[in-house]
Amino acid sequence: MQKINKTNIIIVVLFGLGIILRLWNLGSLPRGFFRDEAALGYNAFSIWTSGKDEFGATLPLVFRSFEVFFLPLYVYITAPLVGFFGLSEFSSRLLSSLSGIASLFFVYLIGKKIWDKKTGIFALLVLAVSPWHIFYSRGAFEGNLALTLFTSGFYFWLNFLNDKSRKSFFVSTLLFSLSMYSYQSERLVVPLFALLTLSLVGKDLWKVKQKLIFPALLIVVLLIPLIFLSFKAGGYHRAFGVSFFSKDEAPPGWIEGYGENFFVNNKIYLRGKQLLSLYASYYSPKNIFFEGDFDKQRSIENNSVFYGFLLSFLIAGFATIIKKPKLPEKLILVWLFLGPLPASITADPFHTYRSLLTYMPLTIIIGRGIYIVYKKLNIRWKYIYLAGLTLGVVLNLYFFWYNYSILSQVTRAANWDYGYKELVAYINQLPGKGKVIVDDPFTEGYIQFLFFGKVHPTTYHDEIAKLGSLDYYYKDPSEIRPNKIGNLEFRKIDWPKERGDKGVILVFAKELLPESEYKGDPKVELLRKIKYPDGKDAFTIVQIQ
Amino acid sequence: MKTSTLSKYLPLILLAVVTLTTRFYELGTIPKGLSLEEATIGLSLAPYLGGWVLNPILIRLASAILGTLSIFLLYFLVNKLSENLRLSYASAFLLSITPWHIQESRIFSVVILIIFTTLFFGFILSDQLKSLLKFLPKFFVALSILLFISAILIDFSKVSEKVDAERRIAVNAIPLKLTTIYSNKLVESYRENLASFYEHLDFGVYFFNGHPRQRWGVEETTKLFVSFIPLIIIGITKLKNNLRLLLGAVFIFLLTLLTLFEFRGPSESLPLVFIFVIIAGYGLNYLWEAKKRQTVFYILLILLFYEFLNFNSLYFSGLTESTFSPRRAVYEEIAGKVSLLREENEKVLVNERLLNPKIFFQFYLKDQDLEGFEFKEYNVWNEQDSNALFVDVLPYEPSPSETLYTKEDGFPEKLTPLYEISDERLRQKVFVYRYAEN
Repeated sequence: MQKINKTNIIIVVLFGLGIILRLWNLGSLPRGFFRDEAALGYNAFSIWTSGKDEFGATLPLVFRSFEVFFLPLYVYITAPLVGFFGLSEFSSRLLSSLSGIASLFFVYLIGKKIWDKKTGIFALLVLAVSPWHIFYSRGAFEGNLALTLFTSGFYFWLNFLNDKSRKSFFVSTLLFSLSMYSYQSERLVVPLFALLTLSLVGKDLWKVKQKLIFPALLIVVLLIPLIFLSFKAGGYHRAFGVSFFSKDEAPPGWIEGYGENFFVNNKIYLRGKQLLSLYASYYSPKNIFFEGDFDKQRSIENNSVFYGFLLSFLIAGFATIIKKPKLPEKLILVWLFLGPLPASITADPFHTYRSLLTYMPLTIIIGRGIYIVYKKLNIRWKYIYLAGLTLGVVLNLYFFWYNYSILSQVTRAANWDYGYKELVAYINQLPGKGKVIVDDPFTEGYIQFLFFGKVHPTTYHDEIAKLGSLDYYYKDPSEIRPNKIGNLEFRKIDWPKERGDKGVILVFAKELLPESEYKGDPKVELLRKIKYPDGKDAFTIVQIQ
Repeated sequence: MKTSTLSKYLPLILLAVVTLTTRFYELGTIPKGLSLEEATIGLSLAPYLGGWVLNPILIRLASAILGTLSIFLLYFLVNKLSENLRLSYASAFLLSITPWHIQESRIFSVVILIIFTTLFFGFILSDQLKSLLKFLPKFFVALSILLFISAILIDFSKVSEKVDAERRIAVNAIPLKLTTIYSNKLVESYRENLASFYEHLDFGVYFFNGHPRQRWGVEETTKLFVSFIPLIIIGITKLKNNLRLLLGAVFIFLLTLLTLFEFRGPSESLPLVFIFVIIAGYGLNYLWEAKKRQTVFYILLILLFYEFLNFNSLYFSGLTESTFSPRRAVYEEIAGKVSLLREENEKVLVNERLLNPKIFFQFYLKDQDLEGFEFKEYNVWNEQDSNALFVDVLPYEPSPSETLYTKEDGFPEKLTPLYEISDERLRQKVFVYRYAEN
């Protein structure tokens, strides 16, 4: 009885820690608010208030943001949250955060289901403090929702393999299907997972086929829109756009100035090697345990996916699992094998977001590894081991939190679009302002003005309608760059020409307008400078007198 | 009897043929150019052995011989430790065709000597090693921990600047005093060493020439074939427990050694190749012995054969050099050309921007004194003495302030170009010229 209480206390403490790490100060940490987050939040707001997305499309199957398309589930679930809490960073990020918390629960259950309670607890511990999971649970990332749906679907699939019940089958396949409505990676991984799983358990399923017909039909119906979407520009454009097959660049190892033959510049060999190198990079200890994502926006100072000291546990866990794996262990390996596939067919190296699915099975295997070592020790060493493990986790978490909440918030401020909130608030409070032009050649700032300005969607829909017919929404993947909200314009400013336009307010990002350009000029009044946390200019706002 | 003797020695003969061909064929010219280290070694030996030693083939000969012998030593050592002839042959065969070992056996390398010596003593002490198989993994792990701690302590003095930089960032968000708790020498030194340790745990470095995240400043050569990957995976899973532990512990030990000495290049990390080939050899042997997996065995063998031919066709055509190669392929030609063009007692002015030109000129001209040569960074328009032969450089993307810059991408009118060659390593053109005669 006492033992049960102890483990339960540990579980509660770990959950508590996980919840705090994912929810505390959610609205203001990360300090910036990235444009993709703003797009998710504003579209949710738009759906909630008008039933249309930011472009005025009624309840779309796929949302358009800049030149990319994203899947709809995050927006539709966030819509009531935004309706309830109001449009803010907090309400936009809340679903991802809650998904992260739910993942903690399911990871524990998976560990417990496949092996035992202790493995579940260790897996929970690893996930609760994992840099990658905290990071993606604290931003509005639809991929994190998809990951949770996949993880929970996996858990119910294990349940189904155990009890062969219609309910488990339906819940599992429903969750898997919903994950495909959340993020692009799952659209590739779920069908492949289903195929490989069927090859493993097909015979067992056949035995209970009659039970499964009705739920399977329901799932097929649920998937019809997604299948329909796969043949539309909005459904495939993103996948094609980032794939390395669509790039003109020569593969690594290509020798310029030489023709192609069987040995030199053999494209099949070189492309195959390139694909394999990208795929292998997602299992590379250097990337997983030390270096992290190649993009500053998706990485934390001095941290990677997992803490460096966990590598030995991954090896221990993996070594145990691959020795005559039982069916659930095989499924974990299938999950791990498929996880990096979507990311590795893109040309970017080690993209943690596109490969999120990989890190959950790794977490579970690390948890298993911690338990395997624990099991092999005698009682005295067990205590020493647990004390050492706790110390390792506490120290790593302590430094992670410093790097995440202090250092990265300074060094990554620009990557996280820091300063827009202040900018929009400032512009909006200016009395009787005339035309405002934001120097933004790629017109990425408009979504931040919609979001922080809480621009009512119906007002904005009138304006966006001027861009053209919505027919192109699913058909034409070419970029749509909204460049106007009322008297706000988003475009490149021709400074020499426009510095004479009386009354106009001009906004420049970063240090694109040096002081020497306007200091001493009585016609240009510096209204305000918005600074990054390191004191550098985020925005310079001037008015022409 | 005769047939069985032949079948016994045929694999070894094949091994010898492959090894000797790949290690000695065109040894003096492939890889093209000497490194500074090779040229320096030649020059330091010349006073004792004579000028004849200033020949690339002789500089590299020791490595080629020791590299070849290492393969046979590995064969005998593995055979003695494992008592498995096929395993020892598979390991030695894989080592003989491994690009990493081929390339390192064809340049002057101290590591090759160290490896040879280690294998030699390993072979001599193999009986004792066998009896210590249980103890050795613990010994190597303990040693690795000690080495890693030493590396952290040694690096304390080197990380001050990084710590200060990090504090300057943190001070934007928290008080300066508080930053000391998070950003300090202990934490930074630990992190630096961990970075160094993990750098050697990147699959890209071993199988894909560093792709997709190539390291800056490190020569990323072809090391292992892609077809080694399945062999290594099979090897790891099928290895006997004690051997797996031993190889794992030695691998960790080698990584900590590399971390301690901050070694990053392919030469210094060469000892790791032995761990890879033994494990891959185990995998190959497993497939070879298991009748059910013969198809996989033959597919992998075909892929291995293709990759071997592919590598050799590129390597022996001089097409595999990486951006950060330490070899300077241009010097042999420049030195030869200068020697031809130089008139009697004519002064030769060599721009130091060629990077250590003096040593290479001494080597290729087999002349330690280089009378009449002057090595310095110069601007030809400022030189008083215009009666000289100039060896000068112009970057691929020159700024207008460059001495030899012309608007039309030609050559300055007042100068007569006599010879030019592209130095891909430094991304510059090297010119030999004189002032134009009026």
